[in-house]
Amino acid sequence: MDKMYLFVAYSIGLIDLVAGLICIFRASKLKPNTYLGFRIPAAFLSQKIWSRINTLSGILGTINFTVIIILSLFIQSIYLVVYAILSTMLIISALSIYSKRIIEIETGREMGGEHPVEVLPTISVSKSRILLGWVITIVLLAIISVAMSQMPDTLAVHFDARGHPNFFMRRDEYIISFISITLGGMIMVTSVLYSIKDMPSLKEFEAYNRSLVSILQLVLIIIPLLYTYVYITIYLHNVPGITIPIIIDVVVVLAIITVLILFAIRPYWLRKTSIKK
Amino acid sequence: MVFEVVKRLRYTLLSGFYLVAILLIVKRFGPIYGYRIRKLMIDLSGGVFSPSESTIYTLLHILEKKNMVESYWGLVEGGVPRKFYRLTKKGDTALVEVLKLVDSIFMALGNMRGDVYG
Repeated sequence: MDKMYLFVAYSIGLIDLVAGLICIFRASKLKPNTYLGFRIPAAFLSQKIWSRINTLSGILGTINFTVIIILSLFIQSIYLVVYAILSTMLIISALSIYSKRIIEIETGREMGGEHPVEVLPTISVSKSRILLGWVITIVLLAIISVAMSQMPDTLAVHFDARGHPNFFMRRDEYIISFISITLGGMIMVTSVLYSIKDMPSLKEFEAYNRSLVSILQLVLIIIPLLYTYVYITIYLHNVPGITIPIIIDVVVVLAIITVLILFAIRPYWLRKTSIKK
Repeated sequence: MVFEVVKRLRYTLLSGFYLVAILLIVKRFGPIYGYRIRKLMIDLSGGVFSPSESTIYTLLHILEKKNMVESYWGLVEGGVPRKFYRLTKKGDTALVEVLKLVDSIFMALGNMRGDVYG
């Protein structure tokens, strides 16, 4: 079991490292684009910000990989995986907020005209969707706190195609990692949305920006809904002994993927916009 | 020790006037962006006012929250996006009142000073 945790943590660290090296040595040298690099709306506004954000993300990714390797010498439990996931989320959140903080200063310093020749549209983010996502998360946390004491000390948390458990965890480890990853994901998406809010949108990045906001707003609702489904599935198996048929899991996952794809492509073919003119 | 006190007093006095200076520059040159506000502030004051960039942006955001100025993102020649500020009606009214206050402060100080160090 320890080897599996190590494998997952190393895999996340390796993704951080590879993505980081690509950001430092390739993406930071490119013009702002929608296919390679740390692609947030603020970074599209200036070459200087794009290069700085990509270099910084690369450095942080590389440092995080090193920290994961060092930590793995001392910790070989689920907490190493939790660290790897949370630290990656934290890097994304921190870079997004940092980009929002420097954007006005850096664009002000750029060489160029002093008077506006064109008003730029800005990106709007739905506060009600963020609120809805957090309400569902709070409901999920309430369910966890009520149902936690009924769970056995060792939980079956993963099942094979026939519904037989094939992976077990201690209850406290499961609850702690489950809550921290849920909250980490919610905080990451919320902070990225915060960093995007009211950002100006250049014409060539308008469709991408709309698509990004559309997906993130959806993810903010899907994360707690999916986690609630997962928690209820595990609760039902471990407490009353009811196993959800695998076909339902497959349908849920396929439905989520379909909705995400639809939301991603919607801004490219619909005129309905999240960009304020 | 004396210089330390003067330094602190200078900072306290000037930071109060930065807000007035920003409102004046936005009124006179707006729509205008933060970096140029700072540059004009330094140039027009002959270096007496030299706030840091972060001070300027913090004050602009405070003024915006209080609806004294409003902002929008614009594209300038050269394709650079910048955040521009302009005075609102509320800001305009407030500026008139603040300038009256500033004048009365200087008059009061002048009366108190008399011929001292004249």
